[in-house]
Amino acid sequence: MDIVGRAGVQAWSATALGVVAAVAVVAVGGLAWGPLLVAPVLAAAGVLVSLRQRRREALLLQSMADYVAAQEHFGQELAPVWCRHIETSREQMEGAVSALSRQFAGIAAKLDEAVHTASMETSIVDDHETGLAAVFDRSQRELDAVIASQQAAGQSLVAMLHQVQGLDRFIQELHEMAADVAKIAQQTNLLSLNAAIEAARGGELGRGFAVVAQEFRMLSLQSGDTGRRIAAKVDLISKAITDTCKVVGDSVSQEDQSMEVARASIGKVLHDFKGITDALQRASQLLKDESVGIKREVNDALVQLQFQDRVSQIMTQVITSIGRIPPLMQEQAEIYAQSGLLRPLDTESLLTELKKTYVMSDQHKVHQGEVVAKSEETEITFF
Amino acid sequence: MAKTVMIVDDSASMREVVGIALRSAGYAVLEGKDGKDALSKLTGQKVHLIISDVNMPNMDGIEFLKAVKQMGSYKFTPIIMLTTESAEAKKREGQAAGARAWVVKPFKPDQLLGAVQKLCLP
Repeated sequence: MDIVGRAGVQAWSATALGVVAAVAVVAVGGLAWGPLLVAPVLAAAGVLVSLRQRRREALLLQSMADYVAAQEHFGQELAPVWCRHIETSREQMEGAVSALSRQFAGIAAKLDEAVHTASMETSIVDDHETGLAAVFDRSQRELDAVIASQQAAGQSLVAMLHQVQGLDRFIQELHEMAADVAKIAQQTNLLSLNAAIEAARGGELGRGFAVVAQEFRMLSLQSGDTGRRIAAKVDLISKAITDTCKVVGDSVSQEDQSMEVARASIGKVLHDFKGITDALQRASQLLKDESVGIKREVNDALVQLQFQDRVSQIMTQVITSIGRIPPLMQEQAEIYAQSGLLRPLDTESLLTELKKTYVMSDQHKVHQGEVVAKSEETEITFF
Repeated sequence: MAKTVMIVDDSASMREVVGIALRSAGYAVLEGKDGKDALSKLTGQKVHLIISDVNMPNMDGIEFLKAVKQMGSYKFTPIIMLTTESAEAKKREGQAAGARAWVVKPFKPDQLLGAVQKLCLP
């Protein structure tokens, strides 16, 4: 017997008990004043208790009807509001993440372009054949070769100068030879004079010899003259050689100074150029490292953006589950109205329905109240 | 000439995310909002690979997969299912329908690209 039935029986039981007690008192006590006074009191008390119980029963029934109506109202009004809020939030989140993804796609495309351009630039710097470092090394080698060539030319000039300066001793020899010629001419002249004297002593017989002596003297005079001219020419040549050596020496000295200046200038230019190429190489390496870092961060962000899809699915499933409550509440109210019976909500069937919608293993763990570990690797199955 | 990959997913953000990963690797991308929408966009052009979600409105991924396998021009196009579904039974359903790989979301771009490069038609 349900609570309503039991309350009704209890209400009528009190009236019946009062009447029975009144009859029993009259039966036992007879029609005396005492029993006749007590019997109506007992009957009235039974009726009063009965009325009180019926009032309580009516209150109980009203509260139950109110409760069922409130539950139905809850299902019809509150649950849809929850669903609308969740769905609106889901749609707003979906829209916001989609917009974010589009913006991110734009940024990622620009980053790709920047990284591509940067890698092209760094390849210009780093290329083994045409890169800046390679150009620097080649330039240094070529300039070193130019300097070495200039140095070799200078050394050749110095060697030639030394050779020309070595001609001095031949000049000295030529001087000595001219002096020898002069000396021979002088002795020959002396000899021709003696011959002329001896020819004069010979008289007529010495006349022919005098002619020879005269010719001999002429030759000695010409030889002396030739010796002097040779000495004069040798002096001229010696002076020309000395002048040439001085000019060449001055030139070599200037060449050496110019070479030093050129070497210092080239060294400074190469040093400055090296500073620029080193800075460019450092910038290039930094750019490469940053590119790798940016790519990694973009990939991480792409993983995080995907969680919106999971969240959206879960929210949709929760909305569906909440949406099941209003018809169940209405059904409960209808059953109560028809039979006066209260049927409890079947929570297990609701949970079972909810579990059937799960598509992720994580959801089953969350359902059981377990902690979900974040997976680091993508689950891929090839067929 | 860039290879073309079709992405089928009802989530716009997922299509964007997959698109970023593919475009950065040099692929051209074709998008479908669900199976039905994607079928309407398969109009004879060369598609080297399809990546499809499973749970979608109008036409879900498994139905779409079966429909593509019935199309003469695309029956040999490899299809990767990209989904939050990780149940073994669902995977077997996809395999039976002709899927070549099953990737569970969220994916790491490098790993998805590895699968795409492995399966993409020449």
